[in-house]
Amino acid sequence: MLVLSNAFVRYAVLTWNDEIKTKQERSVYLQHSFLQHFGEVSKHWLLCEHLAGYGQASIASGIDQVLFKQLEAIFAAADMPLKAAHPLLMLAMNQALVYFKKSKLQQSFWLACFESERLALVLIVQGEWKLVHNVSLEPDANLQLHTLIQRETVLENADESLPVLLFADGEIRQVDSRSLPSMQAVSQTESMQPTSCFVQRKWVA
Amino acid sequence: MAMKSVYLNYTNRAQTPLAVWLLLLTGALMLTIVLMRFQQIKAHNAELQTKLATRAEPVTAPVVADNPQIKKEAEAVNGAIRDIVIPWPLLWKALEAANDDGVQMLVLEPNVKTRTVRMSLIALNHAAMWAYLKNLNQQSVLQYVRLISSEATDVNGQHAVAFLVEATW
Repeated sequence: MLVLSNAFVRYAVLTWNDEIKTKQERSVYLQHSFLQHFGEVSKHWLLCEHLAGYGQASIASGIDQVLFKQLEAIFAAADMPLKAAHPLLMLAMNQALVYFKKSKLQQSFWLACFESERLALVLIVQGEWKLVHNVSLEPDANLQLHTLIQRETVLENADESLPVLLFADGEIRQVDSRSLPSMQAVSQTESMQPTSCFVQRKWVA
Repeated sequence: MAMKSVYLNYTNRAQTPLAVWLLLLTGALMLTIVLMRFQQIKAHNAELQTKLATRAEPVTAPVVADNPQIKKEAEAVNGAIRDIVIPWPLLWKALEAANDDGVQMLVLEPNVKTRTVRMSLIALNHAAMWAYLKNLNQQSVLQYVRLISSEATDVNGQHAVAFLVEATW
């Protein structure tokens, strides 16, 4: 399994559209949405969508086709079958869902997925995708996250008391949005798995 | 609302999810089981039908004991059974179909043992009598329609023909 860093992936939340009936229409809608979000460059991307329930917004991701072909070529040269290539955010979200299922909490939360140079922020309200941001990490990650959440809370008219989940180093932690822990980038490039493309970050209490 | 796990994969975007295959497999398995069960029930039904056909026997009169009282009762029961055995609906249907305005039936005597029916009739003339016999002959229920006797008679001062007919059913 290949996990793609958020640095290589772009995400978009696709709102529900009653007019879309067929797979072809869905595909066109997906391409159109990415074109609106990311411009002409997205025409050369490999797009992938996860359909949520009826009437709900869905999440979609895209990566550069050339990059993916190169990855496939590398795997083929190494005689390794490339059976799955998932974006990191997918793993983070699924861990978050498991966390909430175990905690029996309501599925409304912020999810911040940290990497050494990337921050992906997701807002889920009552089990539905509301927004996703995938931005470069600033020197003060704590402040950046705090600012982003504050801004999006106002823009999305979200509940201020929503829990914040932090995903880093393959682990999920729940924190208070007002007391985010400080971050220290620890490049783990040397210890990376051969099939893993992401650079991890560790927490400092 | 419960949120389902996210699945984004660039390698097999067109591939059918495992759950769909499992569902298909389960459906096929259930269909096979249902078909097998249907075949079993069909075979069992055929077997029961055969048994039923074997067991179906004609109604027979009860065994008569030596006791005169019982014998008398048995005869009465036998008579009743015979009456039940007589195909009255078919006979009546045939007689109604053969009915002629110029002929009146006086007596009708069915006999179970010989499977015959004897009729005493009276006709206005011979032509009506022959027409009635012809009608009787055309009824599929009745076979061997025979004219036993005919006699010129008088009904209220009017000429008539009294005749006796027997037929087998």
